[in-house]
Amino acid sequence: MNDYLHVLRIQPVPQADKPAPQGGAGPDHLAPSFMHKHGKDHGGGADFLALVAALTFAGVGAAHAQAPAAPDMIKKELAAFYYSGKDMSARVSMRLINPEGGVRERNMTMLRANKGDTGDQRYLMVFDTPADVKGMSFLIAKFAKGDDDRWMYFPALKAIKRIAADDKKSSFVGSDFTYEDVSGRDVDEERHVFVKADQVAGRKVFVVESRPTGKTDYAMRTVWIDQERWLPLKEEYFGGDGKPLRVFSADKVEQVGGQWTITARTMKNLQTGHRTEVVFKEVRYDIGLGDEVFTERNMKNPSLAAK
Amino acid sequence: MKKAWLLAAVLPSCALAAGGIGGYAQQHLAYRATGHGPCAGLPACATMANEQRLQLHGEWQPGAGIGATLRTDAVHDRAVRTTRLVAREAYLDLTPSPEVSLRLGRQVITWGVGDYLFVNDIYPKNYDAFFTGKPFDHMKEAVDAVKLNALVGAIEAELVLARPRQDETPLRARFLAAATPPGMAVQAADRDGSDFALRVAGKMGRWDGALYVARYRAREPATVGVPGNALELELRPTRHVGASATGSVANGVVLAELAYVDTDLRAGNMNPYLFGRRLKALLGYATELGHDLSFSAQYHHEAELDYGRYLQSLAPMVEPARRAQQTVYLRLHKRLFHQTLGMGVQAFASFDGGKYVNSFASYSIADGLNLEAGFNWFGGPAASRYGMMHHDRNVYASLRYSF
Repeated sequence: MNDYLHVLRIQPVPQADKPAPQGGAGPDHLAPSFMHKHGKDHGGGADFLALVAALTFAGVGAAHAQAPAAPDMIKKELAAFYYSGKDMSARVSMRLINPEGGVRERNMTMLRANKGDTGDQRYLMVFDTPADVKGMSFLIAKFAKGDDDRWMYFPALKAIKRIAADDKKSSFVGSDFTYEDVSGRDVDEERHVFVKADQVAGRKVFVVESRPTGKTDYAMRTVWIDQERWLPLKEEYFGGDGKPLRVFSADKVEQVGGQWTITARTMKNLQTGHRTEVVFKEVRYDIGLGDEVFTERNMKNPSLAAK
Repeated sequence: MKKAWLLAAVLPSCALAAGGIGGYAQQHLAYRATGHGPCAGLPACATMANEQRLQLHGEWQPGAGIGATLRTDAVHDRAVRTTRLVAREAYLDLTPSPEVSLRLGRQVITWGVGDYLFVNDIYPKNYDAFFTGKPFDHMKEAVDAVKLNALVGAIEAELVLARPRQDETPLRARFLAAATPPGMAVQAADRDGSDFALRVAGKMGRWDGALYVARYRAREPATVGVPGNALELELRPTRHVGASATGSVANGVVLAELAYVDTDLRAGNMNPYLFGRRLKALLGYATELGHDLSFSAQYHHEAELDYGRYLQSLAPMVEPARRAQQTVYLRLHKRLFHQTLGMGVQAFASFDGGKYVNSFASYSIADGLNLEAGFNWFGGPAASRYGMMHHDRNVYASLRYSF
């Protein structure tokens, strides 16, 4: 019972359509987001209000019993965003835009396959343009638990190198996305708290705050998750000082092969003003990509993968 | 050379017909950073390199399972007064099934896992390009070969039959350390025979492993004085058995290589760095220290197993190298401004006291337009491998437009 009261105490003022707050337990969940930001404690009065809130909204929680807990919301979001279908292929265009409006482009073919229900995945990305990176390819073995393995192919040398890159900090080919943004993160790497129900561009969303359990370059992430499609429509990353670092937006969502897919997205660095716009074209799901596609051999000769 | 011209003339038209053509135009400059007195007799004394290069790259795929690739370089170097048209790569790909592929023709092959310290990469390098600061893709040279690649389950096998080719060593017209005594001629290396090599690679859990077996001509020539005031270069027969592994450890990548190499030594050899029976080993670690900040360290060890036979093979006036050669390689690389600006330093320290430090910077002015610049510093005892190049320290810059 005490735990239940603590969990309730972290929530902002409840709203009528808010589901029962069932965020995971743990020290970080015991302080509300606004307390972290402002360093305030509302004292005994807050405890009293929390008790009243607990008694008042217990019924509301029961009415929304079908709504998942915050970690489950994130699990569903990760599944919809990074794991839809058994496999996927797409032509990906990235535009890296600096604050002065200067544009650099990266165009690639991306193949992705899930390794059953393990959470492990394989990615193969082959660059088409610009000319100085044409033929370069990335192979990523993503593991649900632990760091991913990565290889890079340099066509001029016909050489494949296993590369050491920090998932959480390393920029993906100079963009505003990290490797982790591209291939996803493990739900257990953050502690999640449901904040409220809201709307984004006319879509009902759940708002969840996530705080990393390990070292990374952000202190808190807020995500707006589509209640029906479970895709992230918006994400904001904050530093330890509470200042916003980056913001992600889903600019276009389409249904492709029965899967709701974010086909246009933007990540903006709020510190520098630099942003990266990404468009997915020719998206296909469930095309039968097996383990044999995600090999060093196919990094060197992508046409083999195409077969 | 005639064959290269023929390929260069014929294949681009095929590529053009297919519409798949690209390449780059590049200007590379290198200036000697030490006094010019000692190099007064060299053609490339103050200006070590002033090279204009146009590379055209074409691909042609007339149908499923067949393709052709051509990469030709037109090169003019004012510093050493040479103009060349070379087919850097020219090969035909046949892919009868997804598991089997055959590549016929001139091609670059890279084996092993080291960056610049090589144990199992038996294929030729270009040290003239490396020591004048040319972009890293100039580091490897192609071989004329037939390469069969087969995937059997999770095991990948690569069988290569190739025409022997030596490393491109620093040019005598450019590097004082490579200069021959006045009036002495150098005869080209013997390239008879064929190189045979097999690589079998697979996974061991999350580790990548490979085994290598090869019988080939050494890439570094034996140098023998012959009558008529000439030096004869010879690529000696060599046998090679090796292994490599890479895996992720402690937020980084560990790499390891080991090889047993046996080169038939020839009496009267004047190249002290050509060993006979030896063990070669490499151990390295690379990690990302911070945002776009990478660090790598490698240790290379080469030990002569039959030092007596090695000593007997040397010409009388040649100072022998040490029984064991050890080199440490360190590299720190930082990328800034969304990876458009890179800067770093890499250093080689040999246990004979020789040191080589390369500081470098690169800037992507726009997509496809890149500027690189840096400094090559050689030091240590004059008899050491890097110390003997102390008159060849240089600053360099390259501008490349890719299309």
